[in-house]
Amino acid sequence: MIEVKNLYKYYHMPRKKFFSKETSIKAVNGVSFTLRKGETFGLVGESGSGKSTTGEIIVQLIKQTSGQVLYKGKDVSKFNALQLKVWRRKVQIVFQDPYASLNPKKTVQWILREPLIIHKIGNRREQDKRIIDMLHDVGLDESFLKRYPHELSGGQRQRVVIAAALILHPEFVVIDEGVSALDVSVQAQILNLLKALQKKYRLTYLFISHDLNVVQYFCDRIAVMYLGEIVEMGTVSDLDEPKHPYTKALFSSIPTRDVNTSETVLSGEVPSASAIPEGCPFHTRCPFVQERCKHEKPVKHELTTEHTVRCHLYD
Amino acid sequence: MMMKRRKSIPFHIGLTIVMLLFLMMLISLFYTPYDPNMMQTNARLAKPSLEHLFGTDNFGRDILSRMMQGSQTAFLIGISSVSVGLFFGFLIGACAGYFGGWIDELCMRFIDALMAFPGILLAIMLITVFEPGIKNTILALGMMSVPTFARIIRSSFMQTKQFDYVKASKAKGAGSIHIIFKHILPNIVSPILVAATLSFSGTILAEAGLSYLGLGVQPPDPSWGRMLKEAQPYIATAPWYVIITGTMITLMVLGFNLLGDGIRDQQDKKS
Repeated sequence: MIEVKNLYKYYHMPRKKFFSKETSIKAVNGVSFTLRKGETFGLVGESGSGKSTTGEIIVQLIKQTSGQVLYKGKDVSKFNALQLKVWRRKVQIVFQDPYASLNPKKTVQWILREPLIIHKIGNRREQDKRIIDMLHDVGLDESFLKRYPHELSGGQRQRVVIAAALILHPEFVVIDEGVSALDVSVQAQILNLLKALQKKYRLTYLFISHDLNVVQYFCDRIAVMYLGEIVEMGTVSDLDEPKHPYTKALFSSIPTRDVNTSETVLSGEVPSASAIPEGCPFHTRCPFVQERCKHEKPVKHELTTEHTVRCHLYD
Repeated sequence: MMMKRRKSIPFHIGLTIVMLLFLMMLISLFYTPYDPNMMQTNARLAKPSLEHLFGTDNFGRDILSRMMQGSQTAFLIGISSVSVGLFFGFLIGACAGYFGGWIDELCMRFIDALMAFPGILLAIMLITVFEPGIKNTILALGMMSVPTFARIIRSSFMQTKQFDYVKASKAKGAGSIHIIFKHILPNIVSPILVAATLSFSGTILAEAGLSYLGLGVQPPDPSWGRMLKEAQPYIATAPWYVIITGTMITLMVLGFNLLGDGIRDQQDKKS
């Protein structure tokens, strides 16, 4: 349904000296994937790997440097104002922090009515009905209408955020670390709510997270990002046997009850996105590094039709 | 996030002074003990007495009546020039803070140019180029406070526009006007309020200064600044004239300063 093709996003840094070379931060470095209707696609990676930037480009909160986001074959970054407004009805984003995603000066009712006013949907009574229906859908009720965000708990806030995102009946929702700021018990509630809403409204999710447990539980397919690139992509069962050394290390770090599992510990820090290593970006930390990794960028290998990996080990 | 509704003592003192002065201004609209411009040549520079509570000036005019009439001018000029300053300051600050980039650069260099002159000099220049009078005084003093407002509003905008609720609203298709007035403005009211209150006292002081120089409000409209100037020659013979006028100006400035500080303290407590 949505195709992301060779997405790049560079941020130019101001020069330190007048004659010094211009540096840029490569936040997203050639990302491609396809979202299929009704699926939940997980995007995992450490902070700074470019996963949130990718999400914000898809909803066009920021413009990409190059590459395309295609919806039904049309490039959304080339939309004019009117087309963009229609696009914004179809795609929504839910942010990480439920404390920052609600305007503290507005009531729940106002927050839920806002999207309907922006898109001029229905008269006041129809809007009211839709707002109340939506509140019931996310497990709240009419008593919340007149409340302000500071009167709500974190979980309740996130329910309001989700309601505000879904009230336009979008086809597609980007959930940017949607549950990371919540307690574990509340996380589970919100995830189950999202699953139920997905079924009811036939939604497609792009689920951005650093929490592998959550992603494995919640997603159909997963892409692992490292320094702005997708290093491995596949279905959840594919990634039970990860192929890329980075994914292996990442997945072995999930705490399990089994004490005998060996954990691959990576050495070093993630290199800065303004100085991405030549060749394979992971070669500075890879336990299986070869000479060619330092010069040659690995290409994408299709292990199966679903499972792709970017590593010289699979040449 | 418990909000304490306890206000500071300075806030209450400031509020009381401002309310009393405002009440005096309101009364003067309907009633003054004497006609403020009526001269009683037989009672020039009369000492404060039951007849003339604050005494009379060099033309035998009742000082209390003129003082009350003068408070109208003070409030009129204070409120209007703060509004003028706020209007242009908001326009410039909001554009600069919201859009950023070269618009920000352009607006801020303009503000820098305004700030390069001391405010009162700028006002004097504007008034000499045009002509003295209440309207031009208001405009000049308004211009004087534009940079302060523009900077405060710009930084509040830059801070607030990064919040997720602004981003989320944008993702829902909201336009700039909607975001500025529905999302950002309601959340930056308190810093603007503090700046406006503090600037109010600055404006009143500046107006007194201008009138003292004869560039502000023109006779026969009474103004505290000009009264101070008129009182100066009689500082030895009729000290009450200077003292009372000076005290009035001080009270007004003090009241608004305390009020502004009080609001700011309260705001700091909340955050």
